[in-house]
Amino acid sequence: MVDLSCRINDDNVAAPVEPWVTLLDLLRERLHLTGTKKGCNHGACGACTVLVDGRRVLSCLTLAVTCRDRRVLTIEGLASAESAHPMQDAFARHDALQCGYCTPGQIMSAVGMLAEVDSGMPSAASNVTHPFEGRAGLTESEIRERLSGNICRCAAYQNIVAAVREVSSIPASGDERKISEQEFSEV
Amino acid sequence: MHPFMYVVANSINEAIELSHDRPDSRFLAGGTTLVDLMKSGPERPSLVIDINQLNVLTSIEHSDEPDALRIGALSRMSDVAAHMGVRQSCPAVAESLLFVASGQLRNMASLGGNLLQRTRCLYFRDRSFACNKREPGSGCSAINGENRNLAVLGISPHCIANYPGDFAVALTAFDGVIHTSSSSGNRSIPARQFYTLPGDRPHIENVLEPGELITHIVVPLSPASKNSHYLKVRDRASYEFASVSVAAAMELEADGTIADVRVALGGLAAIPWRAIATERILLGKRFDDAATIKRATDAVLSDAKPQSHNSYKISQARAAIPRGLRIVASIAKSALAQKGS
Amino acid sequence: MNALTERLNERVHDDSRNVIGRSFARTEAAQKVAGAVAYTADIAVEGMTYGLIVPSPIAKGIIETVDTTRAAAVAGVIRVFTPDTMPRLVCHPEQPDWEIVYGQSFVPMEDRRIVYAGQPIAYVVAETLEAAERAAEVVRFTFREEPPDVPLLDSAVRASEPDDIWLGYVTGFVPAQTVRGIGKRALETAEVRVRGSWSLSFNHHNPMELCATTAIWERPDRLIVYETSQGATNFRNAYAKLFGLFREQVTVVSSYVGGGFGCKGPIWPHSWLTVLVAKELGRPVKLVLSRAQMYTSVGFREEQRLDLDLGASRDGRLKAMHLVKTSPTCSFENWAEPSWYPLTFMYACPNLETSCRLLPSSIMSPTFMRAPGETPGMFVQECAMNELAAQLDVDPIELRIRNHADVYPVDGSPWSSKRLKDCYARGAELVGWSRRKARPGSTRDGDWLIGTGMASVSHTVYRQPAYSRVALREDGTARASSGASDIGTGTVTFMRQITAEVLGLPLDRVTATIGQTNLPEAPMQAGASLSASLGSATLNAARLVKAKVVGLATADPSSALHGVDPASIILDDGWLTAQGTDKRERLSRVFRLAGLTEVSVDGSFQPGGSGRACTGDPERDKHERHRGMHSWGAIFATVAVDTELGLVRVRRLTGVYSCGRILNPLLAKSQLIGGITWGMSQALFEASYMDRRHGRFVNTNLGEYLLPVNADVPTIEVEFLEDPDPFINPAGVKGVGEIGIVGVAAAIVDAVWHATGKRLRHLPVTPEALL
Repeated sequence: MVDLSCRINDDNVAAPVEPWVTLLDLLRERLHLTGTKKGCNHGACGACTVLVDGRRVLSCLTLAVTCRDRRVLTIEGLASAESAHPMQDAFARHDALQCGYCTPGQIMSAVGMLAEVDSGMPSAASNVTHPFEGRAGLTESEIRERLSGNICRCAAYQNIVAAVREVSSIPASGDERKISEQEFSEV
Repeated sequence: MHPFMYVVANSINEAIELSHDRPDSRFLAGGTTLVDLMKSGPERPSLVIDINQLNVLTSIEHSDEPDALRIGALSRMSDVAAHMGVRQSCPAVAESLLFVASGQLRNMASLGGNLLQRTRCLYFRDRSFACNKREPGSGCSAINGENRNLAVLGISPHCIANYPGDFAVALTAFDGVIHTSSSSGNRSIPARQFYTLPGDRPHIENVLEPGELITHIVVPLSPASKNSHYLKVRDRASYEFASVSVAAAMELEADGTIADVRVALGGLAAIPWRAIATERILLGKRFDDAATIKRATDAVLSDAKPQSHNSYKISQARAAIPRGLRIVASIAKSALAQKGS
Repeated sequence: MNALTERLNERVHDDSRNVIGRSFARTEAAQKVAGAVAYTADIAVEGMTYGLIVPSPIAKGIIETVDTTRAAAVAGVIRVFTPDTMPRLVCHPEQPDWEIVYGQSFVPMEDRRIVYAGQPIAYVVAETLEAAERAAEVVRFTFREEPPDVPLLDSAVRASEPDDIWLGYVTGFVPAQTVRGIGKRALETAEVRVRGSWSLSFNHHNPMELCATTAIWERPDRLIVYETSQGATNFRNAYAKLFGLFREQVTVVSSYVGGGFGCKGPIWPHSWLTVLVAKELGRPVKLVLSRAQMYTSVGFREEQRLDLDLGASRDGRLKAMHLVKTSPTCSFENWAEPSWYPLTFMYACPNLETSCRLLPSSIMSPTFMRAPGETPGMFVQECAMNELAAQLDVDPIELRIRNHADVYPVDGSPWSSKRLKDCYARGAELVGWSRRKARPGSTRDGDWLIGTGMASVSHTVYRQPAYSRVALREDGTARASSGASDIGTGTVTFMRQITAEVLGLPLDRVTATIGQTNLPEAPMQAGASLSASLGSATLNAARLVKAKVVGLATADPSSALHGVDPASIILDDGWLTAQGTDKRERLSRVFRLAGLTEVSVDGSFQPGGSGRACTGDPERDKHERHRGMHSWGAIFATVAVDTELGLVRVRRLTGVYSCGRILNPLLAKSQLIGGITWGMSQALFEASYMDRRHGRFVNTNLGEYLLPVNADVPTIEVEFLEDPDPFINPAGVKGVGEIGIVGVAAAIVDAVWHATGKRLRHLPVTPEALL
């Protein structure tokens, strides 16, 4: 047993934990914070996404004991006492969900993603040699690439993109993937 | 998971001491490989040494003398990929980190751990199948099995597993050096010598000794590094391992001939595959000499041994290598033009 | 979250009485985005233990020895059950069963026989999840392994050709060998032929939510089960039967479910094993399947070969079609997805012959997967139509119009409604179809060749008996309730909308409750039938409530509406008003006068036989003829193909649909987007690799079983055409949950041909096929 002390949402948690317990199972089975979901338990779906020290990570591949002295934020801790987080609000209004099972992971991932964007972190959709201009550089391709670590079998993707777009305050541009045949050359 | 002892190392020396003479111990950094494999079964350490406190191993520096990137092994993939020094001096390295996994996994995974990720071979990961890599001598279920994702280069009759990583491929292209510490002292291992072919001992994947800790990685830079690209080919648009990948870089003379070129392949080989023969054929030739490019491509693929379901990788590589060269040639030409102006 | 709920409902509260047909936010959205919905595995009960199955690593053979010593010694383990010690069911699942949908009749853990890989061969129960996992890892078996039977689809193995297939009580026995007209003989005189062999890989449902069962025996005669199901009623009925209980002694709870897509409709062994174990131990047991176990526990869409021989006249009019389907079934019963079925209704084809060949195999039973029958049947048919169009140099849409079935081809009866031609036209308009060059390979974008293809879309309207209770209270609030589940479609929301409209209430005054079997019985959420059936039941119940309240108002002498013609009275936000007059009465006063606080009615929807009219007027229904009842659509796909690397990327997907009355366009569109993405995924990504040496699926994870990620899917355009249909049910609803997947793969395959000139006939399309 290892003595774990960390902060989870607004609570200080101190408990003995076996080293092989994942953060996901600690949250769900011991702390009864079941908002974070288990989709695959092997890091392939993103449903278990939480923020640790402000960074989005997969709780199913995180040993709980490695969270000693860290701050963990789960979906339960996202809203304030007065209101929902803007990302939660946007997801609900854009119907960025159907069955809702991947939704907490999507939202935590989107919140973590915006923090990465604000710090100038590029993605595979960016031109890496150029500085990334933060939210102003968030095209649809950027949003889709950055959220590709969260699988949605109901495929609410385009509504998820619309919700994230709204929160990041980019109006719908013209770079949605539409075919304009004038762009193409004759073969 | 099998139960294990867990201990936190507060210094490099402590980490090395804890792991000394304990071949059943593993260092834990991001855990994206180790925890995953501990759940499926191939990894069963009895001692896990948490090295996440070793902040001295998280620095990312671009030095001029010598012109190189020096990256601590505990740096997270996302931080390395975000570093402007890395991005501008060697775009292929940054891309080989960004085109990987997902944002969450890139935040968790360390560079050192990423080098050591293990094959995705489905028979390796499931303990109920015979696997020489997991249990030497038990046989290879992948040969004549479901092997569309596995290797065609560097394989042996005992193992056709592919190395799935991307950063190591870029590192191999640029003659990166992997620095380690152990109770026997420090050593520097060229990336091209770090990984071992399966041969008849596929359970050994690299030259690290038990208890040897990767401390930092050095990427030597050259004019070609700036004109580099990592091309990753995969079935879906993201969050997937490469079927074929190409790390490429090129420096051009003013007359359009190739002064320096780097080519390394991923996805289809047992280890990161530096295509030296390809490079030799290309040196001194024009970047747009199609016949030479074809000859250079054939040179690295002639040894490829297609398995029952993965011959398509050879066709993909046959297109991906010229594509990668075309991209870096274009970057190199722009760089020349800028220099001239 | 109250603030968010209030704001969501604020948006929908206005003076318009028109509630049905408007895009209200999903009722439970506020809870879902807060992580506050309790899915089955989220529910903890006192004294709960953790159960895990141990799956067989071999596909065929006998267990020789089993050693549970190490497993039982793990700290925290309560018991390890083996086939020698597992308690027995009171009653066995039998197919056919006219009230219960079983996934399969085979019961694991009754003896040492193994008939499929992944079959449960041990069951571990422990105090903690980690102890159960540890113990499951160390149960030791030795086997006498036999070579599994997993023949390739084109092998020479003898197949059986059953006369019919049992597909569960909703559809019953489906004929497996059919003939219309003179069948395949008509091909001999056809002027044009298209012949080929198409095939689909094994596909697994992979809902994001892992299947879970929590079983609690309050007493030996009182069972409560929390279940991830597409309809609690089926599970309640099954548990009652299997455990020898009365139905009233069993409660099953499945309210919000994280996706089903077919696999959570039937009951499977892991569920009843959990209930057996809970009974034996006298403690609640929670089982959650692992992702890998999801590939061997809840069925899948079977791989299948579809040999189609199509004959037409030179102007493209179909003369005959001959389809032979070859697919594996489990060793213990016949299952076949009815892939031949769409050939019977889609086009006016006078001669048709279909047959179904089954290869008994060492697999578990396949099962329904999104749009069963329609998905593969429309794939092969639409591919063949597109090939025919190319062969005849006729526009693909024009070809389909020439073959348009003006009446239901099965028996010549009329359609209840059909706007297929309008779907073609509108879809063509949206994508600029007229600008499509006929010659393949004529459009390029850098390394990519661009192509566009299309396909017809259809889905049968399924209707099931359903019951719904609507209660109106004196304070002007109402509640609808039924035992349905919601797998992501918006059940609660449409129940509220329907109730609100009929009773003239603002939406925020109406709640709906679902998910428990002690509520009125709802059918399974399957076949896109729930909104149609439960919607109609709710409509009927609400109308009866309204009639009752109006009756109270007109009957009471002190009411302002005394003696007024009931048909002239409308309900509007707490008032009853005689239209065209100033006579009105407060709802609360009507209740007070009658001495009631609430009026509650259980309504039902009884569809009768397939094709029978259900207008809501029983007299009229008696005289209406049978009709073909379908939803229709047209799907268009534009792809980009990198022929050197063998990659296909989808640039655009556009679908136009006529699906009856759309209760909520926002939620309906979400269903279509989801279904269309499934079709794209089937076309380009999904395949379960079967290692035939071992009889095992090997890519049993979400890293190598490919689903589309966000970056794969373009923004999908969906339009609904107005499609009033008075015959299908009183709500006029056809349902939209399944139709999205239909036809997409054929449109994509044709787009790939249009881009490259390459005709592909196997799904998924992979680089191997293109290189």
